[in-house]
Amino acid sequence: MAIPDGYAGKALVINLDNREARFLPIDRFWADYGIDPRLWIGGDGFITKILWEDFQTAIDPLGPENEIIIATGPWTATAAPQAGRAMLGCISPETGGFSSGSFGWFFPSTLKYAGFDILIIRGKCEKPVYVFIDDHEVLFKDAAHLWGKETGETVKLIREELEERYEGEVRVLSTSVAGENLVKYAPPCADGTSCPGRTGAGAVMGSKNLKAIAVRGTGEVSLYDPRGLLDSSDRAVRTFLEREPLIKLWKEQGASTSLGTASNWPLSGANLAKNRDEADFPHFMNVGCLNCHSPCYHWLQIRGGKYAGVRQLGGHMTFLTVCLRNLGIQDFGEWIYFERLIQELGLAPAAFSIAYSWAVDCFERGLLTKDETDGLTLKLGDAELIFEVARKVAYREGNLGNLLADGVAEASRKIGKGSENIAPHVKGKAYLQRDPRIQALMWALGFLTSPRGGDWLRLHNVWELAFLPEKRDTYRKLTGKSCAQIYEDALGLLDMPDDLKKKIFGDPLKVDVEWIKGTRGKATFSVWTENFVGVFNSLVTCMFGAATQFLMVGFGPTTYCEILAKITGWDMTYNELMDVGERVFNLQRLFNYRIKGWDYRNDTWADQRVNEPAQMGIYRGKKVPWNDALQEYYSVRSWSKEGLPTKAKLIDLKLGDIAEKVDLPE
Amino acid sequence: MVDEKVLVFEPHDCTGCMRCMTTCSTYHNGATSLSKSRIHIIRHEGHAVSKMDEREELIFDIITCQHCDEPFCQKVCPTLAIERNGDTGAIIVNRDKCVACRMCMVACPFGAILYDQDRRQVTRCDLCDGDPQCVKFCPTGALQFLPKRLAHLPKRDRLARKMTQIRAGSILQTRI
Amino acid sequence: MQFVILGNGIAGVSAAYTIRRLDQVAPITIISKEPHSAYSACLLPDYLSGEISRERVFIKKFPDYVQQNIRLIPGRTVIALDTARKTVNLSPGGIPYDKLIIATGSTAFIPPIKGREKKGVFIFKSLKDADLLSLWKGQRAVVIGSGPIGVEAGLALQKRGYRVFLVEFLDSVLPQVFDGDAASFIQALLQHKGMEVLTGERVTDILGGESVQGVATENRKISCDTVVLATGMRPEVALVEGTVQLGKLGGILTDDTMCTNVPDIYACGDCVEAKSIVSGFPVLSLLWHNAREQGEVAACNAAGMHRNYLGSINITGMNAFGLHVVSIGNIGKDIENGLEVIERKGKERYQCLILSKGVLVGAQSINWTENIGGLLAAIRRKERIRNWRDLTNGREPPLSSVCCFPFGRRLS
Repeated sequence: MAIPDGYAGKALVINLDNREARFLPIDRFWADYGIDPRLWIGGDGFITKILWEDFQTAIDPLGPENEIIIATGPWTATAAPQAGRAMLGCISPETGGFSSGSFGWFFPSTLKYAGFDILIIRGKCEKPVYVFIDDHEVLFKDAAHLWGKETGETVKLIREELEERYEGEVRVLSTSVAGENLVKYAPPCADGTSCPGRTGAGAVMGSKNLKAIAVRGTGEVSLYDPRGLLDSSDRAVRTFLEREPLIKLWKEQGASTSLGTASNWPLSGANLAKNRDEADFPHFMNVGCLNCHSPCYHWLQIRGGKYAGVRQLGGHMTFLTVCLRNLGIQDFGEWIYFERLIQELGLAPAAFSIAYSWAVDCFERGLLTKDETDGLTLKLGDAELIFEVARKVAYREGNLGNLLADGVAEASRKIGKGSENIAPHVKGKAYLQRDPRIQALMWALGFLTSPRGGDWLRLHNVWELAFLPEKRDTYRKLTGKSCAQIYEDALGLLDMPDDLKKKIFGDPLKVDVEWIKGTRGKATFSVWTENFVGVFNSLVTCMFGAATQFLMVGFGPTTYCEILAKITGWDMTYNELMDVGERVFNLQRLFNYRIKGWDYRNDTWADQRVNEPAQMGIYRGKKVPWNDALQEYYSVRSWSKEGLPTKAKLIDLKLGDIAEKVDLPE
Repeated sequence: MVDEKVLVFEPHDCTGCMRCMTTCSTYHNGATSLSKSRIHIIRHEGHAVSKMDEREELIFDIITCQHCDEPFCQKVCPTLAIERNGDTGAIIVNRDKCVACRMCMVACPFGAILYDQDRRQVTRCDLCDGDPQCVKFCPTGALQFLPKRLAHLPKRDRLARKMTQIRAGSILQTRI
Repeated sequence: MQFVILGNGIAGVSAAYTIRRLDQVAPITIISKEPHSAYSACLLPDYLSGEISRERVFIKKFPDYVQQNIRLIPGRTVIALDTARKTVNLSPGGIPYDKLIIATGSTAFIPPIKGREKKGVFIFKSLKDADLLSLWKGQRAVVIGSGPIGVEAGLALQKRGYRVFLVEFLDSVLPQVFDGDAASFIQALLQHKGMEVLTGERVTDILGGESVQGVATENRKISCDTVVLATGMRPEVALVEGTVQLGKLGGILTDDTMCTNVPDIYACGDCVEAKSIVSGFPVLSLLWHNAREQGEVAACNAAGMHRNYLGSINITGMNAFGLHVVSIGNIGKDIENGLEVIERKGKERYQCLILSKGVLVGAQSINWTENIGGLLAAIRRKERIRNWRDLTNGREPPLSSVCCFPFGRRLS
């Protein structure tokens, strides 16, 4: 078949057992894997299909049979907006099931300019190695001198020894000490800046003795309609900048915190803005990935205290949230240090902070003794202590370090004594904030339904959480519009067919306190959101263009179809595109069923406290109807009551041949 | 007399997104790349995280044809292929005369000229015939298209604002 | 005001066009020994090799002169200069001038080797030489002299299918352009690609009967049917010897305005000695870009607009088998005290900086052209650098010239 425009044209399959690198024309690779690019597009689509074909039974994720897949998409490295992203997939060290994550900065586009759509790494090298993809040449380089080095140092050394001709020519995806020590939730990091944070692939790399992948790419990506692409991209970005209600706050006060500021969460962007303005860098703007019109990285510097002078490029929501909510750290400088530390050590903020706060819970209840915590008195709010524990975890040092390095699920299984019942995870993976009840309904429902396990990034929908009733409305002051007005606009702008909108928001369309507190439409909206996430994770493009941080009135499926058409020449419809997202989600679900046996029985909380009435938020004083919500969700997805895709559904999604091979309800 | 306009770059407004580069290559070559763009943003990242503490600043620099009034490249071209566009004042390469000897690459102190191996031609900015696309697509306005005689004004404005800020700060302090 | 220019090379053409830009009306006459319109000598090797057509060597066609109202007199030799009457004697006829610009260029130096009159012996200076060599059907060529012209001629002939022998009297190839490792590398490259290179050998005789059959050096005999003499150029000053002052190197002496010691007589191009940017002393330049600039400067001053010549600088670039080799500034051979060569080697590429008493005076590169331009600027500014990063306070070239912008300076 002819390779459509937008694809680089090759797959690279590396086997570390014998240091072999095989190049395959991408259409040949697709044929081998039964991938029709129009059905899977790229990114998560490719990863899901590849994992499905490559793994029929469970494996040891930290053994040599695991593989790491990096997949770009036709969107990556083109002139489309936010063209800097790729997905990384593997079997999760924490859950043993499906894992994938999005990352950006410039590694993905450089990989594509080197000529590769897909990179797969298999096997294990007998000693530390890093791979250098130098356009069409693949070299295996000794990494003994890099082993044990933290993220920044690793990137710096690799770029120097590869003699990049200008700063940033060589891009590096590396694992740090936590990955080397097989901390199960350790992510790899691209250019020391952007991580597929929830994959655990840093540990997988560590298990393979693979310290890093470096790439230099000088090629170009072909386009079906180049001038048309520029035109569509221009219009799309201008529209976005006009429509996104928080864009002004985003640029002034920070991407991470714009929503928090506007809706009066305790996470304010004012601090971030102030720090950024005062930082020594004379560069006041945010910085970001390739082709991004709404960059989300901030230059920050710790102003006083023990770590004064330390800088960080980031300031991301996840770190700030876990510091505030899970770790009890209040000081902004300490947040910055935490982010920097986690990045250098190669840990994951959510997993670590959940594991730590669980350990504090256990300690306070006597389920963990001082012997087991290496003499430390565990508590929240003590930044120094937390940093010390983070270092221990990264090196698996001592009892505590080793315990928490396995993640909260396994740690709680080890300790027992009822600690399993206060462990915030689903299927073995921790979620973002310790108490899901305050984030009900949709956001928290996503923790249960995500194919990765506990997760907030696949059902990324804050319509409920961002809503403020009139008497508490802070939007007006900061955006010039009231909350009600913003929501009303959003109802109009949301890129969704009318009948679907009515199903969710009623007829006439309305979002009010009643809707917020109710369940009507939530399952439908959840499913739509997850499918939409699947779309932009397959293109691959950035969440902040689509789901943004707020009401998802950025780029919608229609815009994506239009731009994709200019890249590849495909005239996909809205439904066809959303089907890709649905297809990907369904196959991930099926994959987990096949190798882990997961079904509705696993869509459940380990932490039993969630069954009690919530103490804050929308469900204050009430029990969150998790099971009802799940059943409705399964029904909307046309899944069985056991939470599995039916044969009919799979056939509908053009996965009929797969449906044959698995034992499923009709 | 043509009011010649040129690209004016304000580093403090640049986020390093390189949209100017993807736009440029897409517009002129019909395919997207960074290596074959006629404008380059060099990102000084401080080698990711570890050098951040050493380095004083993060800044982005731009490299593109300056359309010099007295171009170095023109002086060394052995076929006199380097000409000035009468309407835009841009320095352009006459493809009929150019033999891609690359002496212009040697002479240009900015390194603004590149050689496209695949298309076998020397490439440089020609201001898109007076409608520079990079300026149009820059999301922050860091790139502007201004007459040469006014090109200093954005910098002056920025300095003035900064000075005002500084002075305002010191006045508040003395009041305390 | 009548302007007369002797010579139709880049210096002369540059001068003529510059005058026309400044003065739309004054009569300008170019007198050329050659019968063609202006062409680029730099392109002759590409023409000889067959890579470009003969037509493309021309930088001006006859109608171009007409369009600019420049009178070109081709194919005429100037007999004498009458400075008293300010006339150029053509015989028959004379052309009066108010301002004269001498741009007679250079001629090939032909060493007194026995046998040099045989058929099959060529020089490679002018279009006529290239035409003759193009029509010649040979198979084995000896090129005597490995300066840029010799090497380019050798490469061109190799592309035409000749087996080529390059014989150089000094110890390395391109001795005026490269030194040390760079020269060795280039020699190795040429040899690897099938050119036989002999250095440190002197040709004593050209052998054969009426036609060339071989060449003898001190060490050996090489059979061949073609010989190209590429033993250097000398300023063409026969006409003006005795009229204007010449320098020690044999070129016409000029001041900063490109004026000779005789008022109203200017000179530019290969025939002059003009000051070097690096040393400040007069040098022969024999390079396209210097000739062109000198032509402009001479013309400006002749036309009444004062302009100083900033000085000559070596910029030599060659493409050999897909590798771009560049030499700029001084190559260091004549520096006695304080010479320092700082090299850096990359994967299949090479660069070096040449310093004299701590000041950058030259640089060379093989397959590493990207930042040479920045170094050129640094040489002009006589910067004291030891390292590429010194140029830009830590930023790698090619931003060297841009470092004068206040990027990154804190305001407080």
